[in-house]
Amino acid sequence: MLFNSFPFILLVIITLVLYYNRFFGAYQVPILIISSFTFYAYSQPYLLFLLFVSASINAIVSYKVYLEKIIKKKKIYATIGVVFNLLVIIFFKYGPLFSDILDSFNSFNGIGEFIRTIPLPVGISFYTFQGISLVVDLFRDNPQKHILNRVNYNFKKHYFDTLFFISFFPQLVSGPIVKAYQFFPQIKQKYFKDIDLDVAIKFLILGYFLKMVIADNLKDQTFWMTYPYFQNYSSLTLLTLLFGYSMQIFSDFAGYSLIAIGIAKLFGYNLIQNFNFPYISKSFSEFWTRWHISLSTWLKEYLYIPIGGNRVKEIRLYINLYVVMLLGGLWHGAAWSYMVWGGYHGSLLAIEKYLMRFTKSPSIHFINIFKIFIVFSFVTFGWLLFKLPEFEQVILYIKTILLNDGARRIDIILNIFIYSFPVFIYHLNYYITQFQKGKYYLNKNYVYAMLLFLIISNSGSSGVFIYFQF
Amino acid sequence: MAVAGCLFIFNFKIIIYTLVFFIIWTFFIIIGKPEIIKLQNQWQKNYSLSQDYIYEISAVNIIVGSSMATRMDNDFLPNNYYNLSFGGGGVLTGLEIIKRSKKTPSNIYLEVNNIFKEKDSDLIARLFYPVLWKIKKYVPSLKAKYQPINIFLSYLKSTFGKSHEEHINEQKNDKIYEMNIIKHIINYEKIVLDCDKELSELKKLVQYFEEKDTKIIFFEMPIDEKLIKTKKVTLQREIINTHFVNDWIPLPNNRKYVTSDGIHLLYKSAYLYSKIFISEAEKLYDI
Repeated sequence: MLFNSFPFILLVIITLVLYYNRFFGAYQVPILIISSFTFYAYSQPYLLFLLFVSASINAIVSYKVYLEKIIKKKKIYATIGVVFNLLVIIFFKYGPLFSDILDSFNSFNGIGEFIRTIPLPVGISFYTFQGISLVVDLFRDNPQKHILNRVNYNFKKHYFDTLFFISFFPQLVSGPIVKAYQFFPQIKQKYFKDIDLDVAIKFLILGYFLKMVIADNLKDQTFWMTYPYFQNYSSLTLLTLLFGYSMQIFSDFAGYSLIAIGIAKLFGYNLIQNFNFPYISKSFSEFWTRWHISLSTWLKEYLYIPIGGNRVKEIRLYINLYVVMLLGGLWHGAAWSYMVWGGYHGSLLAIEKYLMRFTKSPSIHFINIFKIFIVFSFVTFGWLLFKLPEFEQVILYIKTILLNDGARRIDIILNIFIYSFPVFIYHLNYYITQFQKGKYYLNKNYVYAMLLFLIISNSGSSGVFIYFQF
Repeated sequence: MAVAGCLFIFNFKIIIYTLVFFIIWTFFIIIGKPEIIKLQNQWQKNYSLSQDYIYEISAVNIIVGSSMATRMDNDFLPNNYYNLSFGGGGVLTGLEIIKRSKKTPSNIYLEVNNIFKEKDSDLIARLFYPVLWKIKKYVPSLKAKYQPINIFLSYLKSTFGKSHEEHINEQKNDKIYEMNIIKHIINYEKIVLDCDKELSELKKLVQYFEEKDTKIIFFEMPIDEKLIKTKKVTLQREIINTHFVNDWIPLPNNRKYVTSDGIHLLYKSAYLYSKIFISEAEKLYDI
């Protein structure tokens, strides 16, 4: 079910009406679980079974972790939980990678073929990571920072809360990835009077604008980046297409995240901010604190820090960075290009960290803008690995840029700049705001009205969110 | 969009401003009648072309086909003809749109070059979305062609765009032609036509229109000489002749026309072929 489809809108309205009805006040969590399952099962009902089983096992294991007093046993249960979630994601997401290997053994004849026929469950990368977060957070839980409300807490409540935490529909299929310690303390009865509707609505308008007006319109321009079409175009056209894709992927994913945050707010829940104006980053490490924040902080908290983080020797630090980025890349899909993309960012981070030891540039506007340009260019170049699924196609795209013997498509270039302009203004406004505190020029009712007018009058053809495939 | 819309009762200012913008825009479209000469991409062109057909066009001769037939621009055709061909689309999409719009043209011309192209269900679903497609008939500002960006692009094109002469003198880019013709020869030769589903759909649609006394006529767009005897061209022609007994527009003399990439006519050739097409079509139903 897409966020920009009428069945979804209907689902949200019905859920809201029931949710805030005083007769159902005690059943808010079950109402949201039913809505979330309906949302998930809408197009492929059989996939709901996996989500349900996964959430149930996470509920059982995490409750064991919570109850167990002996640290050793607690650790065993937590390990079972983490391994279970990893096995689920490895089997469903990376199964096709192993199926070819299995095919080469006669004794496994047919198994590889079978694995390839298993569909990739939507949102699996997101909800398994939330499952890991739950067992790890409960394992780490301490009296100062309680995740669960321990008064009258029992398995039934924990089971429902876990089903809710893992399946909450605004963030189920494409995040933001919610951590248990952020979400569980919020689970309680909500009242309509406490909801900040103004903020929620502004999130929704901005999210839908980025998705429907910017990303969906850019999608029809960047289509020409696909193989074999890109071979017909000049260097300028190809570079502009790449720039357009960079704007598209930001608008698509940031738009989705804003809609998810806005809808969650309508139900009284605060989800983590997923994008914080990433294209104004002055360094690659800053970029990763602004782009897909829920994933980068997840990787930091549950992988980078446990393997040593910054508190290790220099060589080990670079290896840690590299490993985390490689796995972060692989998280996006079972393809070499994603791994290369992760490695590319790992290399950029490592090189930057190394160079930072020798240089310290002053914070002057001109130098800052130059740094932003450099970071943006490298990040944008990396998106080529996202857009083109085959590595050979990426090489061919670069070769075609260098050859420059295709047609210059002024119409495509113009369209891309028109639709990228609002994203530029969005970032520029934030950049300026940093120096003039409190003056957020775009936070005006008429600006949001203009965005809504453009959603009504200038939306592109609706396309699936890019991050659905992950 | 509508989630926000439904909840706007909580922020009157935003909804009032939006309404004001929308009403001003709608009046501008109705009173100003801006001429749209530039759309943003081929999918929007397909969508807009279909909306024009559904809401405005009463032509009795309809051409349906793929991007190859789109070269016969509606500006080249007389008023009683309308080209409902789609870039990236095909005959089945066009026929389905005519059927759903409940119109019964006298003649429908079916381009054979890409006749088994799968139906574009997304486009059809968008065009006939319940309730909304009826509203769009009366609120022009909701139509794709009247998107604010199209007005801006049309202004830019009319001010800075290519002149008519520049269009007519459009030349073949040899490098692009060479690259594409090789690709087309390979694809046209190695094609495996698995078209049972599309053929059965085509038969049903042809039967539907023939029952309504609409004449169905097949035609082929001119292509590069190197492609004339390829497997795809001969096989498609063979299948159509085996399953249908309808008339054909005489096959074009491919040597007379120039393509940009082996299959898409350049402006001058498209103009020339459009004239020949109309003259042959007139002859056909005069008989």
